[in-house]
Amino acid sequence: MSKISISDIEKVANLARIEISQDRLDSICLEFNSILEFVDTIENADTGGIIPTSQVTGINGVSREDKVTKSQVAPEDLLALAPETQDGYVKVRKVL
Amino acid sequence: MSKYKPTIGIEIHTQLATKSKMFCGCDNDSRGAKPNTNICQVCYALPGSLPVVNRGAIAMAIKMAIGFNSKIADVTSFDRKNYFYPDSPKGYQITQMDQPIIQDGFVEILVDGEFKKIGIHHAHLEEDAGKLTHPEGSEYSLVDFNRAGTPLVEIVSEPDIKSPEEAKRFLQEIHNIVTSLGICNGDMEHGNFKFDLNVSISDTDELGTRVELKNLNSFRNAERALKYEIKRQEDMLAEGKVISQETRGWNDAKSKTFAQRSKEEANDYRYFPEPDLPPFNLDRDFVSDIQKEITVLPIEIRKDLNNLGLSVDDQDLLISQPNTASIFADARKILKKDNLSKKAVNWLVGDYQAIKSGLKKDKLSGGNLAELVGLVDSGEISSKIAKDIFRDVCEGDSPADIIVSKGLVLLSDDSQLEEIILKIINDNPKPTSDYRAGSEKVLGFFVGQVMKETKGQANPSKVNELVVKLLKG
Ligand SMILES: [Zn+2]
Repeated sequence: MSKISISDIEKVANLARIEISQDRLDSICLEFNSILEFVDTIENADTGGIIPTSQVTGINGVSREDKVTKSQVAPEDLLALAPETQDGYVKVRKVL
Repeated sequence: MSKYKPTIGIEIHTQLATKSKMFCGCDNDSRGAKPNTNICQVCYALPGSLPVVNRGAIAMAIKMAIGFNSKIADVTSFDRKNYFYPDSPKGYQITQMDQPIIQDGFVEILVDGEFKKIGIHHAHLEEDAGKLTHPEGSEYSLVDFNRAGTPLVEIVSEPDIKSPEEAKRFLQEIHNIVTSLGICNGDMEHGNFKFDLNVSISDTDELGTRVELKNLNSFRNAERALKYEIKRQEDMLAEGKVISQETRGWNDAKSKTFAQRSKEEANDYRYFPEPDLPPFNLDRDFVSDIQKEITVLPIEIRKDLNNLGLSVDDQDLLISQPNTASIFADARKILKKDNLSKKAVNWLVGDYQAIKSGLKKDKLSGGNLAELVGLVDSGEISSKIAKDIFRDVCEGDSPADIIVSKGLVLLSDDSQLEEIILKIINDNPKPTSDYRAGSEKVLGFFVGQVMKETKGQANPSKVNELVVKLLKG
């Protein structure tokens, strides 16, 4: 039995703002489930007593002094990257 | 009395008063700045840019932990909360989920004269989003990213709050703590301090369905919204309706809560450990240096003021002004006695508040305030003179110096006063014979005459004593 249904795929795609055409849903669903099967294999490993690891660099507590510094890229150049602007604002489709 | 008991939990977003943003060096104060002028490659999320944690924000969170009687995490780490919305340039927010910096604390609130503990489940650091505006009648929205990356601490209470009044006091107490520790400017009009209220009602030990009231920014409205919401839920249950778990807003003009479209579910945010930021081991020396900066906590001041018998309003006033609270703390150390300390508070919540904003320079010190209270107490100056010289004292002059230089020392010298009193007795044969015939009330006349003669500089209790003595002959 599949773990992931077509509607799960549609939901995740929507959350990630990815458009998936109807004719590809079946194949993606299959791929998704085979990836999860692979995860199942990993889950068989005995991890009792092991602290979850999300970083392996060993780097610790990188921080900076609370000081105002200038942007490496000028704010107006950053703003110019936006598809549309108005009076210094980034203009987007109406959201409420 | 309703058979339903409310249970309330609160989440508060406090903007930290750091100089720079949470993960970049942009100016954190954009008041009066043009839109999108305090932005950089990091907070504007240019590909390849990397966040670096602001040590000042960590320090402020540690101060907050101390204010909440919390343990400070040994290791704190950041997580990524994914969502798409135009106010978030990265498409995610850097926040803390697994290892928040503040864990398991409490604050004490004063309810009906008793202190009650309200648990703090945790508080975590995160970054604010940009600001969206929706011009009236237009088909677009505008985004200003100056606020994107402002450090926030989200404080999550335990559901220990049992009434709208307690909720209001809790919010005020947290506000007191963060402002007096200098962590947050506390300007509620400008979004420095916002909160969400979770409320359910139940007539059993089991909790009812929870409704979230989102995005409030005034203590008064928090109390009103909760009262309204509790009543709404009671009415629904009374009519046999089912309360649905939902998010509601508060409409101030209509004094009503209203259903809002709910955003994503918690698991839709697909949290995961932030790969761009290594975990942060909190060095004990760093923590203890911060601890040393905190001399007195608001709750300690409150308990002291409460013991002195001060009203909650006066307590709030003093605590909400860190500078005034520290003047009091210094004066209190010198004065020691409760009755004298209370007089010092009265100056601070009364005359000082009235003239403070109009002072040339506000340089009232605890030492000078204590001296002023002491001079009145010992009878060296009258309270009238104290009032007259208070402005100078607030501007930094020592009361003892002022009374010497202006010649305001009270006449307490017996022979000098006796001479004046005898002259008044001689000049006023009628009241004198009245007194001797048993009319006690003419005493006031004599005391008044002496004060007039000495321009208010005589020690009143001394004058009283001498007038009686001399009238009795
Ligand atoms: Zn920036």
